[in-house]
Amino acid sequence: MNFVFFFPDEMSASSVSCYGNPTVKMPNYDRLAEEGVRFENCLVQNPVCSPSRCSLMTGLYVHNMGHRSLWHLLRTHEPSLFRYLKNAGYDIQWFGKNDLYSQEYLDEICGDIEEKRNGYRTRPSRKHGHVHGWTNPYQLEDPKYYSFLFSPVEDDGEEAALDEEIARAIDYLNNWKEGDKPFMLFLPIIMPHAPYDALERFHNMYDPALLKDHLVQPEETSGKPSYVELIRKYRRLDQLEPEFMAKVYATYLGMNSYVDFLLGELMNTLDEKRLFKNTTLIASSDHGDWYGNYGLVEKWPNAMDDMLLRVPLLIKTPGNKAGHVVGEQVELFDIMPTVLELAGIKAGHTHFAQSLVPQLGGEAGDLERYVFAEGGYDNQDERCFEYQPRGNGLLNEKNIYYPKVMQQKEYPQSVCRTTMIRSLTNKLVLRTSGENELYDLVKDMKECNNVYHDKGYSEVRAALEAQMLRWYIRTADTVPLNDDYRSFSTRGM
Amino acid sequence: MNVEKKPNLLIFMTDHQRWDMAPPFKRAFTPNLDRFAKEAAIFTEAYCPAPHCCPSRATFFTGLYPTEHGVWNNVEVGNTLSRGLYDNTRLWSDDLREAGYRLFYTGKWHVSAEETPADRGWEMTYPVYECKKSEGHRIPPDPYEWEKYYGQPGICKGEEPRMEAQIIRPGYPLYVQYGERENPFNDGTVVENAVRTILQREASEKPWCHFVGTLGPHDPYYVPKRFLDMYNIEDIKLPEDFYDSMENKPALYRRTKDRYSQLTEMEHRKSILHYLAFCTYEDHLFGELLKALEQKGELEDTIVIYTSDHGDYVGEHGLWAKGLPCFNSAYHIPLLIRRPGSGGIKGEQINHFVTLADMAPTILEMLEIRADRSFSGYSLVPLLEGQKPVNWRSEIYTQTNGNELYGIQRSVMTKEWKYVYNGFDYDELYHLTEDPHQMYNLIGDPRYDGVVREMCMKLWRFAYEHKDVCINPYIMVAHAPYGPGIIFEENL
Repeated sequence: MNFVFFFPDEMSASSVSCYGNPTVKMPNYDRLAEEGVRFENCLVQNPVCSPSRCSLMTGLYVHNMGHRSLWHLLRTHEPSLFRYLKNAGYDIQWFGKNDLYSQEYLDEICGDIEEKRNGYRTRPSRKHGHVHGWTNPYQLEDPKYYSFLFSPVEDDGEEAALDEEIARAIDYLNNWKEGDKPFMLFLPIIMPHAPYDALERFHNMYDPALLKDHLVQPEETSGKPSYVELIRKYRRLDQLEPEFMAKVYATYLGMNSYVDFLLGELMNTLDEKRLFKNTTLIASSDHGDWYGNYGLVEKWPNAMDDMLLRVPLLIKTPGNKAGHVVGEQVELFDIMPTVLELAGIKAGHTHFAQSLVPQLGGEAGDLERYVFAEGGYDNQDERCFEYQPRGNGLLNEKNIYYPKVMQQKEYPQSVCRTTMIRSLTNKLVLRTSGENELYDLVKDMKECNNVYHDKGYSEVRAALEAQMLRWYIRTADTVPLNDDYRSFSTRGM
Repeated sequence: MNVEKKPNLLIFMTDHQRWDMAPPFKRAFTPNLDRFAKEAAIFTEAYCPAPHCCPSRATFFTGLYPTEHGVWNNVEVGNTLSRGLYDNTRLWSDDLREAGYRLFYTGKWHVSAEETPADRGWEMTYPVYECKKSEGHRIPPDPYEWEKYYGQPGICKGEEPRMEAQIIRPGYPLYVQYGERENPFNDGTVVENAVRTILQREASEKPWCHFVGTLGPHDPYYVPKRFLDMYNIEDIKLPEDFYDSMENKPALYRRTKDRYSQLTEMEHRKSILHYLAFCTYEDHLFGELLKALEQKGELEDTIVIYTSDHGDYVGEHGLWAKGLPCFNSAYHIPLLIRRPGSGGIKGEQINHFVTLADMAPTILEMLEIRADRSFSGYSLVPLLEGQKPVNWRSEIYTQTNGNELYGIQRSVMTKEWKYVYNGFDYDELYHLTEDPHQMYNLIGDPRYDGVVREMCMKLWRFAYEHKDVCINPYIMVAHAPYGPGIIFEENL
């Protein structure tokens, strides 16, 4: 069984067509939903790239190995999905960013690591180019400078340029033939991660004027933690009009349409090569983006809104129940045991993810399942703070992340350790700072009103707290699968 | 618009002419330009991309920067970096020709040693010549350069007494900076021929484009007497920055100044006088062309462009001509565009930053010819129409890999700062609003580290966007304070 793991960065489920977004056109995601299985409530284990990816690839929670920041990646003593696949004879073909493995671990996993480090010598065949994240049109003095809304990327009006990584992936698929090793084609592409821009035809695809009312405005919320106001102040978002946030939203949807176009090119190649008969295609994301809701943009390390945690998860595998939708909650890291099971491999470590293979066959999920996420850092996690000097220019006020790191520096509590538990009806978020949240997801799907202090919800709250405690007891640590010899003995050596 | 209704286009390009030798600055007497300027748009902040004829002219014709068209330095010297343009590079004249324009070429080309204007469909009126193509084979350069030295009586020995205007360099040809001469560089003949071409050109339904290129006021500054007589040496002063010792600037700049130090201050002033007179001579030639157009009755149907390929230091910092010293005067050129009809800017100045790369899209838009490609410059038509676009460029970039000999340099200039990256020496940073003459090199002063980083950001982004590959990270050559990698920023 081959795998194509399409993994765009920062795509919220609510911004995807087949997840009910009324505006965006994503015909290829729609096709994937029709031919494969769609998981309506897939939640990630951390709202930041690297921590989420570390969980995904290990089936472990943040609290197991301490992957809380962008700079604490999987180290060689840790198990991971790609190691299992590689050891079972898979070719790991990776086109996209890292943010997952330490350098030493990469040497083990990536056959082309030298090219990844020093640059590829050959160009991909398909038309490709700079498709994202280039020009901030605003001056530093303008409050819009930190909004992440960038200029449209130059578009020659001809065939749309592909993201270079996808162009390489397509070359790889076109050159693969029966008898070659089975592959895991991993595609962690950058879009639709902020900054918000895309090739002009996608950038301007949706009309902001029609979108203003689709966003949750800050005035509609109550009881939100203080980081919301701080972000709006530091990033100068509180000086921007709702019409501007609508532009952000429109551009973000345009980016999704572009990503959908890339998925389409991949699917066309899989069709042409008749690879679907022995390939599983997975499309998901590592976390989401606020894209203008609550008056916010991009994300925050200890924010637990559904906008940041709920991502699309679509899987098409030979023999699946086409068009099946699983409404029960699943966790992003369930992808790991799912892939292992489809590949016929067993994990060599205890983990907490669950294989979704039964659901691919048409079964329902587990209605009683709670899902969990963690994020943020406290004083003991010094190296996690994003303002720590790493020679990456973030402390320069011209850097688009300057407001974010300054807020963490001046208000470290606003990014404190946080844990979330979610059922289909309620969500509880606890923080070491004491700024806790509770939402009634049935009555308040958009998480506008924090009812943590509401007497009417005290039973719900207590029940969730008990469940969270139980979960911590159950998952606090993992025990190795093999034993140690108890006495002093040569036989143990 | 049918080609029959399109306007004609006359381009007059001098060589080595600074911006302040034309209206509104008028350091030189230029009565014809003054009259012309009343009906033209006067670009006061026009710059060429490289401090040399060939790359700048290639940029003029292609709308691309040297990194994109491939012409770097003198295409005719044995050690040239490039004999011509990259394959399949189009000139705006290709589009004009395909649209039905008749093309006429008089005078200096110096864009390629592999092809002549005739190879591009221009009718060469004077001089007419062919060039020897290299057919793409790699053969050692023809060492004809040695003929300048072998058996030439003009080579200095080093013991001879120095006469006025001379610079003695043992083992090199004698250099005389200025003098008196009729028809210098044959410019008079070139324009005479252009005038004849204009007057005798057959009437036709098809419009024409005529490029006239002279060599003046290129060094050495030999000018007809009657133009020299128009100036008084008492009125000629040395520039303020003449006394710049350049201690804090690259050693190469000091070395070139040492050569010119053989000239006395009076000789420098006389050089300036000759240079100004040369500009007046070129203005006179320009006047002849305009008279011819008027006589032919074509003035009302012709767009006229006056410009130059690059500047000249004319004594600034004690230097002459052009080269690696990255002072603005080597790059700041005149640009006046007169369009027929009553619309648009007439007699007014336009202060936006413009470059020779803008000429290709401008010409095509003025003539309403669609191009199948994008350019690295912008069309100036909105500026010519009187618009003041807010998002206009805020920087000027230059690229050189060295004139005649080699040296890598890239620079970026805003209205406030100028940063020069030198591959061959330390860099330069000038605070232009406080130090317009670029006297004080602020590089190395930690207070300006932030500015340097920002300027490096701009420089490398431009390099990335214009396919510059002089970015090798090898330890012995990669010395920029902030390297190209800073333009790709981390995501959180």
